[in-house]
Amino acid sequence: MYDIARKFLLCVCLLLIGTHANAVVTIEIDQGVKRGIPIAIVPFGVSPQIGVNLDLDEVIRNDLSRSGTFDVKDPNDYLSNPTSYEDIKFTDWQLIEADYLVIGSVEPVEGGGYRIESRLFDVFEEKQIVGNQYLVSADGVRRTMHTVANTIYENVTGNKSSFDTRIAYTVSSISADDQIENKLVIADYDGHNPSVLLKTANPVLSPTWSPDSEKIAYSILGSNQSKIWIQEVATGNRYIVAEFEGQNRAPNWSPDGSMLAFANSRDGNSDIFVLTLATGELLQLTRDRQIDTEPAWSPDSKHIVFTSSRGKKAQIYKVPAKQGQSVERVTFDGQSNTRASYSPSGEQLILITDQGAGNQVGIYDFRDNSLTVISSTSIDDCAIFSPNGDMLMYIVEGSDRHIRILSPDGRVQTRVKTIQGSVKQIAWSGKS
Amino acid sequence: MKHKISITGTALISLVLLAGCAKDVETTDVTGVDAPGSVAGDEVSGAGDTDEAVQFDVNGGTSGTGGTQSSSGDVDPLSVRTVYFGYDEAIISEQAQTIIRAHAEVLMEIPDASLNISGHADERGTREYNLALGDQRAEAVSNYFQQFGIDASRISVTSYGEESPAAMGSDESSWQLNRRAEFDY
Repeated sequence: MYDIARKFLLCVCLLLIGTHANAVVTIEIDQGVKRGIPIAIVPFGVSPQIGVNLDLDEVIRNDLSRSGTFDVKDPNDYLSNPTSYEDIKFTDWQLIEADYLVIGSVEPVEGGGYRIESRLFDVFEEKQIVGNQYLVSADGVRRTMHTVANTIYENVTGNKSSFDTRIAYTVSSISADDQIENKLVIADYDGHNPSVLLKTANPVLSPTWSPDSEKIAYSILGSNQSKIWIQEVATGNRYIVAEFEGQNRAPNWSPDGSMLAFANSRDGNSDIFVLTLATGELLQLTRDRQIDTEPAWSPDSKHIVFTSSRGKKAQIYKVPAKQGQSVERVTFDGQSNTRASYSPSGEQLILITDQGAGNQVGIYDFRDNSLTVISSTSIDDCAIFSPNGDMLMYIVEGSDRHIRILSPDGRVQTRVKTIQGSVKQIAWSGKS
Repeated sequence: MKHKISITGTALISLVLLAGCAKDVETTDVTGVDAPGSVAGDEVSGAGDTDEAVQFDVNGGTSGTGGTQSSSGDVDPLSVRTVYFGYDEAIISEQAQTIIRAHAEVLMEIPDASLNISGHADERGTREYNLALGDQRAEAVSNYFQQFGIDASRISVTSYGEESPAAMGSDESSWQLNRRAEFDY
């Protein structure tokens, strides 16, 4: 149709057309309904010249499903598979009760690379909400599908998604010559495009991204001492930042990137410290005879939560990120609560809780002091929020150790593919 | 550095000394592991660092759990260089004290030997917490060696948390073998 060409923006940016009713609709749905927003993602039209099954629309379907925000309709139920606007019969989509419809195509362009087009429609208004076109190299095609999913999520919900971000994880395996290999891996958040950043015989622990996602700090367990390193993602260059007397562990990057909170045991047991990276200045935040570890910054940088066994069993405590301040206990529920970190809003903590049924992922809410168990597994570790709070991720331990993504209500669970080995810990980058 | 020593000779000496030392040490009654579904008091075979297949109560002197409390007469404490702990605990059991005391007596006779202690945890709980728990277990063993006369300058402690399990399973029979401190000299 002639008007489509006019409506379509031929660059890598958004074009909002017609009535932009989605914002209002979405808020109502988010507040009231447990079920996701019904959406249909039609298989993308792929030029026969590409000659490979890229499964691109599947990337979008998986992204939108993982968040739990969408109910992605099964492609087997689609009455038609349009790849262009003129082929769409909106009644086909009204019949299967999809509120939104996504179509798209991938074609090679002259001189190399691909042109990816995607369009999001409001099925009942029978209008396009947004259309995008992307020109990308071959190795950027899959990643661009996350960008497409991101655009859909943002236009329908009014919130940002984390589909276009990366994770870091640690994994250990046995090499061909029977040696233990510990690796630090970065990958797209869904586990695709993995690359090994570090390989060492010693355990690599507690990776934490810098806020600009350009560096990762971690602790390496040496034969006598654990030291904290920073590694640049782009160059692979790395250097030690904390080798203070005792053990240096559990680094966590401050929201402005200037400091690391970490645990050090120079006084004979583990306490919480803050290191200013530019100056080397060291602040001791806690001082007691029990375990204090796993510090994590609040998004406003004012507080640090940490795990302490000062009350006999491990619980979560909170301390202002300044020297000489008093410690406040946060959690009281259950036999133990460990490894807390803040939600992006700062209103919640995700943590590992033992309510008598093993170690499970829990959400603590500061607004009503409630603690809710989210996971259905029982040897859980390392639970984290996605950078935009739209998903959760944690490690399922036990005989079938793996990374799992949860929707924030725990309803949707998906497994993340990792490289060969036993996955240990995870961290989610703030930016793509 | 590992000193090979004659087990039989020193074992006799340490057993004699055992009775005399007992009053000097505060003993703690460990009331079983507190993990749900745990099998307290199970008898499992020796920690793997001895040639003999000794029967050894890994929960070490638990009371009221129906387990068999091994007397020091059943197992030569010098044949064992691993002590075990309850879930999320760093409390030295009576049985562990017996083992540590026996080795401390040996170490008193070889003053140039250094002692390395490593603390470990089972896979439950978070990795960093387990590293700190391993610190506490290694420190607890170190403190007992020091109470039995071993100078702190001869001792080095380290923690592997859950990074170096002795048993690979994901059930209580493996976990109880992994909640441990190992020492070597």
